[in-house]
Amino acid sequence: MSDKKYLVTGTPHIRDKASISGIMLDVIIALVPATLAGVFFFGADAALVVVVSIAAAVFFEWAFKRVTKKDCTIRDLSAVVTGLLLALNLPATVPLWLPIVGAFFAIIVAKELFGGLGQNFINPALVGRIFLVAAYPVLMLNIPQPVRTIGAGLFPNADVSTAATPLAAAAATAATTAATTTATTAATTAATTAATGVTAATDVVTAATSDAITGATPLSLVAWTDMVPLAGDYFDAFIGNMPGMIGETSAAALLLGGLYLIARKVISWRIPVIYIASLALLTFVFGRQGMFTGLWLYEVLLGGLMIGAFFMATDYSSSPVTPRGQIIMGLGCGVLTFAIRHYGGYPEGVAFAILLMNLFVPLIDKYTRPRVYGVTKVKKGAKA
Amino acid sequence: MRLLTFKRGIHPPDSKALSEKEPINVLFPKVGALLVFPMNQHIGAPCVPLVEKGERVLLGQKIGEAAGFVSSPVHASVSGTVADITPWLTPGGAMSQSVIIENDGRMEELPGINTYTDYKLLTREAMLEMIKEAGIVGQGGAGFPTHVKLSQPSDKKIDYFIMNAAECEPYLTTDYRVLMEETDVIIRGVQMILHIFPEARGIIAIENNKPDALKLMAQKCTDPRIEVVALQTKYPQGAEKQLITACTGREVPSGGLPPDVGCIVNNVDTVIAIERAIHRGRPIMRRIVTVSGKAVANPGNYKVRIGMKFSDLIELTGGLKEEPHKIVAGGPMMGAAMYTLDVPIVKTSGAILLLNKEESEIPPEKNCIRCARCVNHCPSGLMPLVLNQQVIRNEFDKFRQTNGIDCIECGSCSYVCPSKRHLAQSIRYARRKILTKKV
Repeated sequence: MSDKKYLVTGTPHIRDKASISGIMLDVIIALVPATLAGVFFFGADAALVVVVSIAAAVFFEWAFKRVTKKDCTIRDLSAVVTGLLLALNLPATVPLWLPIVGAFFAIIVAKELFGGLGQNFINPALVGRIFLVAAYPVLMLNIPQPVRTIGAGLFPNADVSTAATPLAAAAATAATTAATTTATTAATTAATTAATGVTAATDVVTAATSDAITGATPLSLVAWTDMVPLAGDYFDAFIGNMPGMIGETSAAALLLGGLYLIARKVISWRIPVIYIASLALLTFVFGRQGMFTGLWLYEVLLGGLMIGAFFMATDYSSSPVTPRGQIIMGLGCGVLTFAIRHYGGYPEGVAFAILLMNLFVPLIDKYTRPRVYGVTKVKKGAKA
Repeated sequence: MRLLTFKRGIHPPDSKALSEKEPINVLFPKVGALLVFPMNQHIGAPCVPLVEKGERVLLGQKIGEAAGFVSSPVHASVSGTVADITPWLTPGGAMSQSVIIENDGRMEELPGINTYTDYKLLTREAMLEMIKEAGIVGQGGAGFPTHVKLSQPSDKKIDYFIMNAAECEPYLTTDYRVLMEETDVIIRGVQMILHIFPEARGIIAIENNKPDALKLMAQKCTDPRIEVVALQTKYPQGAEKQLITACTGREVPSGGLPPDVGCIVNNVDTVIAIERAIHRGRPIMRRIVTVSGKAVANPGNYKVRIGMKFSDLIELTGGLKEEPHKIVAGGPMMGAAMYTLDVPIVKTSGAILLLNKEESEIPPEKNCIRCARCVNHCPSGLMPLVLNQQVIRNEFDKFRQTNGIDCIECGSCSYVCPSKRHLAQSIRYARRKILTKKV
């Protein structure tokens, strides 16, 4: 037989087809519905933000690897995912340099400086978002109304205009504290518009196109007013007919993507399901208008919960690898989000809750190790 | 039928279609071919050669004497002349002192072999002696001397004898073929072992990807002491500990052995060897080998003489279809990659795989992305990603504390890893260091 040299390696000699880029591609596919929804609801501005954010994230990853003379990793698509997630966490109204700053912070500071993919202990896209909220609050709280809606008016929206007006004013005041004083009047108008329901879609379009500034998302209305959502509000929240960040508003699109990830076994059900369930339960039990009266379903559909639970809290690098750890992660995120939403200064708590839980991940992993075959608990403690 | 299994594990493509339909084909070495008999084909002390260069040996003649209790004799599988006694490479990757015999093609048998013994008339000790003298070792691949495994102290009560015919490794089809072709021999072999452990129940465990073997075995096995069970098709279903858990619900304690939970496990081929040794007086001289992989012209199952070189065997099967990229002695999950075909079939050789590039390509290693797949699939409940980090940092104390030593080296973690990290390899490295007390 020939003297050809044969490959010699350790076992096993066959490997699964799974790859990092394949997993990342699945995440991108799962984000397509939310991205399309974002572009639909917030127009071409949203598309532009998405493109710039992805391009910037990929560029910074490439540049960092080049400067540090490391193997280029942009083909693994993880930078694309980070850029896309960052864009979906921004309002469509931001100037285009903002996603670039955010991508720099996400890729260089949060990811690469800590060792790149798999080594970042907090979610890069969320870090980007939080950095931008802290550094450019005016721009980041300039949350637009959707330019289009789907099926608005199919269900009776609350004819809450009269009842809500004074409360909406209160909401606007609160919102402006978070935003800026210069925007007060505009915010009040827009908040009122929002509170009166999105039925008046055309009004909304004008409001949005005229660069209306609003801090009043449905979540802030829930937080700062005693609005009672009707069927139409539930529908709007589910479909995405509401002001918000590009990729946050359509619970339906995010659920679709999340279920795809679970079906493809890219993520486990544990973190998202337990996160959402625990938040829903706490919201219901400790209702804003009294015990066991919480608007759990409505609040679950609002804000960044869906994108957070399915796409952010499940980030591999910054979430636990053990089954029990993932349950704790989901619970922790649920409790913290509830606490921030109900007792904090912000109407929204998803981003902070996830980032806080990220810091506990090494500890969670350490104390939730699976039981090793043949090792009993008693023996474990007695081990030298 | 109940479908038994263990926790976690993987589902690799089984690639058995290449050879599972091929009946066992008997191949004899060519006249003048050199057969290599390593003196170390088992776990334990190497044998001492009993023959000298130039001496004529007969088929079945003992050519290596066991050096102690945990050892196993070696027999000539052909008649011929001792051409040399010299170190030779074994499929395990180590060099072993070996007796080289030039086959004279006459297959002249040693007088006295081929004697029938009724096992029912034998004492336990007499049976164990016959098993030892026949040179039987764990044919599943471990090579632990079978007489040692079956010599349990009287205080160890054995409740179950489990015959392992899971054959969970991809490509391998010999267990399936013998289940179909030597059904009666297998049942008799199990009965013989139950004669050694009269209080034990017999379990014949087969993965449910072999439905016809399950059916045939259940049909033919009428002994009320023996149950035929179907196992879920999942790797590593045939790993000893996982098999015990699947069949009995018991868990072998860390650092313990199957008898600690009242179980003895033997591979189906070992059971056949026991039957042949007792019923027909034949020592281990042949081995059924799956020759498979996309680089081989005629994948199939071959009954061959122990001592035949891989290269000779492949030539007899009809040679290669294309140049192999990788040669594996054993299954693709746990077998050893060989750099040459100039190695002999030994007692533990169950397969030779000649893989082409497409089958055996392993992409470069990348960063761990903490996807948790290794954790979700480890049959031992370990966290391979953590162990891998510890090994890279030479943190062997931490490796011990996180139970790295409980790894069974099945390779499931490496298989599922999307970053293609050498998880199993690094853990094996650390285990070897710790077990040989180098750290």
